[in-house]
Amino acid sequence: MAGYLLKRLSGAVVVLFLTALLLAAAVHLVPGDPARAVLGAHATPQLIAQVRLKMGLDKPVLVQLWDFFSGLLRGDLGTDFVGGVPVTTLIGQALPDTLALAFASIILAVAGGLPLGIAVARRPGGILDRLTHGLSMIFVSAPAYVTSLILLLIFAVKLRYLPAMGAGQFSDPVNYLARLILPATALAMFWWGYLPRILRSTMLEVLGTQYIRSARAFGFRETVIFYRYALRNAVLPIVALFGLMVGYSLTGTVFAETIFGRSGLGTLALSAIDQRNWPVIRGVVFTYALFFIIANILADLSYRMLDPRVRLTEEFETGA
Amino acid sequence: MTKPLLSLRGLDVSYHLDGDVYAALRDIGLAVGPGEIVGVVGESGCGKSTLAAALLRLLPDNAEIEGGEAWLKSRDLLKLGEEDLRRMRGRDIAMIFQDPMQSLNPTFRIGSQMAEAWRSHQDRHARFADFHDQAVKALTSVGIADAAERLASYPHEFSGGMRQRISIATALLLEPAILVADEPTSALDVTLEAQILELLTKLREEHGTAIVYVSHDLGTVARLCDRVVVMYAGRVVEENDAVSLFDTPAHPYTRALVDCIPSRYRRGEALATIPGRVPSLSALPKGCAFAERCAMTRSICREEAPGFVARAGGGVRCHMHDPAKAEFWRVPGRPVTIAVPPVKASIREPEREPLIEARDVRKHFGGASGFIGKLLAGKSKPVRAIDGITLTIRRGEVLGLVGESGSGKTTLGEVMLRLQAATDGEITFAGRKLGQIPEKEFRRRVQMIFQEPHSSLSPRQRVGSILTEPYRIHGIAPKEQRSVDELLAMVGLSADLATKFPHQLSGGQARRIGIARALALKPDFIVADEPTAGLDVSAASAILNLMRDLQQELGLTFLIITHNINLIAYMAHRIAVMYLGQIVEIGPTEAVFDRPAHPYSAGLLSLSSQIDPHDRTRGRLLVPGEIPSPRNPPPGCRFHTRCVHARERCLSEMPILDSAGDDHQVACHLWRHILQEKP
Amino acid sequence: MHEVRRLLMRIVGRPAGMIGFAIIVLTLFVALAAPLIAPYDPAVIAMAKRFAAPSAEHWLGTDHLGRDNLSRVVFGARLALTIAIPAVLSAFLAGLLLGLVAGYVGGLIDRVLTVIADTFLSFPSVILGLALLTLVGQSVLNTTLVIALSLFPYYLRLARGLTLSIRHQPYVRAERSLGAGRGRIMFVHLLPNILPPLLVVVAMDVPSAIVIEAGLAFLGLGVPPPAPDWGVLLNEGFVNVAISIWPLVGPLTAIVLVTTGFTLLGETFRDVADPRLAGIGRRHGRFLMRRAR
Repeated sequence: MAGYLLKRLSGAVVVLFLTALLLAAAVHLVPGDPARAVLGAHATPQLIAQVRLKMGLDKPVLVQLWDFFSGLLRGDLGTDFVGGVPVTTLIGQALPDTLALAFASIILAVAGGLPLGIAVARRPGGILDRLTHGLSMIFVSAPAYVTSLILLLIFAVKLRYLPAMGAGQFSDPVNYLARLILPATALAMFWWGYLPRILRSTMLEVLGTQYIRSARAFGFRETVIFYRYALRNAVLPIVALFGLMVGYSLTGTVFAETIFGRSGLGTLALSAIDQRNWPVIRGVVFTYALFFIIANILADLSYRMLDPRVRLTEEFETGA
Repeated sequence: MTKPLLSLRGLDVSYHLDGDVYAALRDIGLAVGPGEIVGVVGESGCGKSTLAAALLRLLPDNAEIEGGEAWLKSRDLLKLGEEDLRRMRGRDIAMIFQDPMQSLNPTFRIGSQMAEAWRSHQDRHARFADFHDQAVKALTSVGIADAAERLASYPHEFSGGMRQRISIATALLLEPAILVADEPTSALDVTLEAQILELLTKLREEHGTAIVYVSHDLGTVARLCDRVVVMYAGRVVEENDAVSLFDTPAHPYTRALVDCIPSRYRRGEALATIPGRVPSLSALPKGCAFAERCAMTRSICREEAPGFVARAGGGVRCHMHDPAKAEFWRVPGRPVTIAVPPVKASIREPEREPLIEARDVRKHFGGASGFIGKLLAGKSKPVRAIDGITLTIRRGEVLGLVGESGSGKTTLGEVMLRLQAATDGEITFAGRKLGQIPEKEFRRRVQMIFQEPHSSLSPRQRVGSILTEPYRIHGIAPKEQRSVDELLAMVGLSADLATKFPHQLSGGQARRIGIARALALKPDFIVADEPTAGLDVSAASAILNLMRDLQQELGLTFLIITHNINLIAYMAHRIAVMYLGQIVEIGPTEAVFDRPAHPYSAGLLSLSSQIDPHDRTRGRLLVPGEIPSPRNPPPGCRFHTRCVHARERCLSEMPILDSAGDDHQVACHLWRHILQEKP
Repeated sequence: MHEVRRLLMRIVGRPAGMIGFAIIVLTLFVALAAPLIAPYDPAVIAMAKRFAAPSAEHWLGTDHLGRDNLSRVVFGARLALTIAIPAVLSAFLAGLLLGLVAGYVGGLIDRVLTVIADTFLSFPSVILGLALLTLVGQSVLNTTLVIALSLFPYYLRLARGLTLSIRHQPYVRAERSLGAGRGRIMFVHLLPNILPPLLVVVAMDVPSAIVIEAGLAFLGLGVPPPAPDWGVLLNEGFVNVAISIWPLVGPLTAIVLVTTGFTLLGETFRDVADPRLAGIGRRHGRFLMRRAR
């Protein structure tokens, strides 16, 4: 396990380094003048000169990269063009709302999707299975901005049940949570469609294995076979989906924040894009990637912790 | 026989698939007495596994039990309610399966799985301590050391043989009256197979457990069972006590099955084969299902399905044995298709000239790779797959290489063909060092026949294209090519197969295509890795006949790698026995079989499943334990951990090959002593 | 060809496959025949008729500039497919080739390609799209390229994984022992065998590309207005949601319909084309039991 951890982490560090490198060098990778790429086609020459100076674009590329990476190691992502505020401060302000939303949506997704999946897998071909089948297909197909807009139309515009706009303040937790309901639901809906489908198919696969037949041959009770014996193995592959879930939620927050007028990383990025504020854009994108990479490592590790088979193969592969 | 414990009557099972109905079992009757071991044999697709599963009603959803009754302890298993059936499963009738690697839940400790089986048949007040004691006892009695600690292990921490023992121990815990064993040893090596068979015999002797033993391997059935049932196309075609059945098989199918098996007593003879294939279970003929493949067929066989004719000890489903139909056999039938030439043909002897020689060849797989791997490599040792092999194969010779899985025999084959680079040592081919022969030229002169008949053919190529692939690769001029028809004819296949895809072929056909492809370039040397693996006995015997004929005709040089000792005994001029990357004995087949000098080869040879009357009385030398990891081979003689003769010297000093007769060598410190010890 | 037709028949034979197939055929038809179907020119502004509710003339009402909502959605289908299909295809081709090479050749090439793929995979696709489009500027071509770039590492990974899973198959070893070179093994023997599962994924990814494309446009970074892109329509509808909800109804329905259609078709295709079953008809016993699970 230690060997695997080391291997996995070193792999992640390499990817993270390349991610940062890609972002640092991005302005030089697109054709044309980097300052113009940042500012767009309509920028005035003065502005371009100003940005060139602020971003240090006049220095050699290697020096620029060095500056970026040494800053990164000190936890410095540069300074915002417009307000002169450190990018990390801006991100620090926006991050909690985004994480709250992502976290809430994942909790809703699992709390709704898993029990539904278990119920469906219990009676494949049954009433619930057939009822949810068509609906789940639509849930899986509707992107986050579609679900967000539909919820917005129904609950905020038509019914006016729930507070729709803004994230609220932590100091008023009830209000804050109430404002999370619609956007978090919008992001969880995909998983309400997806988790039951995947759990149904992994469960059917597990129930068809030799060891389940073997358990039946020894007279195991059906409830034991289903809930204790098969369910664990069927849920295992879903643990590996956790990384994907975080990625989906992070992307979804961009839309949900925009549609529900919430503050967060997504709205920070979009306003920075409007202002052509590259250091902020770069910083936010890096933060997303960082969280995504961490989530994937966590997913991998927990999968490996839970499945003794994988543990062994890893030990074997790393020669431990 | 006393009153049977289990009595099965008139069982009909059908499968429904894509709108077709497959008659998997028809009118099956079976009676098992207390403590009796009944064998169920037949080729794949004959319904024996369905029968085993039907006894516990463990059939898949698309199977339907259409009729019959199965009485066990005055209850009909086939009509019992779900909960009553569950209570009987495990406690009254339990089952173990073919693939021990898959019959345990990989994410639960074995103790927890055994406990669940035990708890399923206890009331709420069952105490864990009781279970623990019984489980330790059960595991110990099936030969698992440190049972109390091993309860906390996961299935993947055990070998296949050990897992099968755990399944048996779980059954032991519940003490069922009947154990259904569906091919329990098919995935195991002969040494482990013998151990499991011992265990089953012990189960019967100590607990009086009756066993229904399902297998395609007549040898193990002959060894283990009291009574045998032969199945064909979903019906019982013959039943008798084991000795009579194999000595005087009554049904032509049984007869043919027995005659298909290679053995050293059939060297130089053609083996019997059964032409054709099992008819589709969705379109069974109205007469006898075997009629199309039978040498004795008369008009009645195609018109009327035979009934079960009772005879002493059992019965047979064949018109030929029905006194009322005797008249039909007074007229001569069609020419006999099951050909067993009685005269012993001469065996073509190899030339003296060596074709390929290996000198002190080693192949070690590095224990670690990659940057991080190397960082951690301190702990890991290389796998010594081959560790110092010296071997000469003469032109026109067939050398048989045997050993358990993990002995390194396939690796040796691939290293000799330079499909894997040797770590050390030297290989000479036709007088030139392997390194000096250009790749393309070498590939033209040597060929390999891979183990799996189907998957060694490119799945999206047609047969014709597969056969001419070697010509395209080597850019052979059309006039030097053999035509597809010619190649197909060489291996006894008809020309219309050329447009088929591999998945449309039977196992035997696919194997023939593999052989034809290997012959396309007229190679000097062929390595055949388990040439009959995955084939039914009748198809296997046909392949062996083909290989033998081609070898004799073309004077081919073969290295045959197999764990099937009978095959080697039948085919090979010489035999080499491998253990943990080394050759422990090598010599002419007759000599090694008559006087095996190494205790390992003596064990292996004695365990080869033989139904031949010559061999049935021969004693069996169990080889205890399992083959150690080639990562950590034992010091001294590598076999000493499993050798009953091992002494002080064997623990520290590695024996080298020593002459034990004409062309016969053995690597054992004690071989003289052991040979003398024998009666 | 015969095989393809039989496969299609089996897909259409199932209700889900039939619905998916019908939706996609309809979408393709609408996209191709947009000028014939659309009742109005999607670009004609009529300020007098702003925010009209649905009526006989304007089935889905009009938008904030008085343009016909239905006509804009119909032309949007054309735009969505002209971006999504080339994006997926080019990502697929690049991923397939590089994945095949990485998986079969292995070694340094493999490690380099995998790390590059992993780097791109560490950005959620929309986020990567945002960053890149900011720099390269908004246009149909750039949107297509950005989507292709964010999809291709998936295909690389997938093609590599599939290649790894079959590279030690006996038939590949048999080819090597016959003396076949790398190119022959990769392109004649491996490629046809990893293609079918990949094609399923590609079919199922066309809607992903549409979703990313519309999402970027919704955020104001994809296809720029006034093009009748579904994302642009959503954006404009969202801005004016307090005044009229009708501009949103069309694009929302269209996106859900098209993505559901592709998903239905892709899933049915996957179920039907289970390669384990292909052509095995005569081996009964164990096969029947395995099939049933």
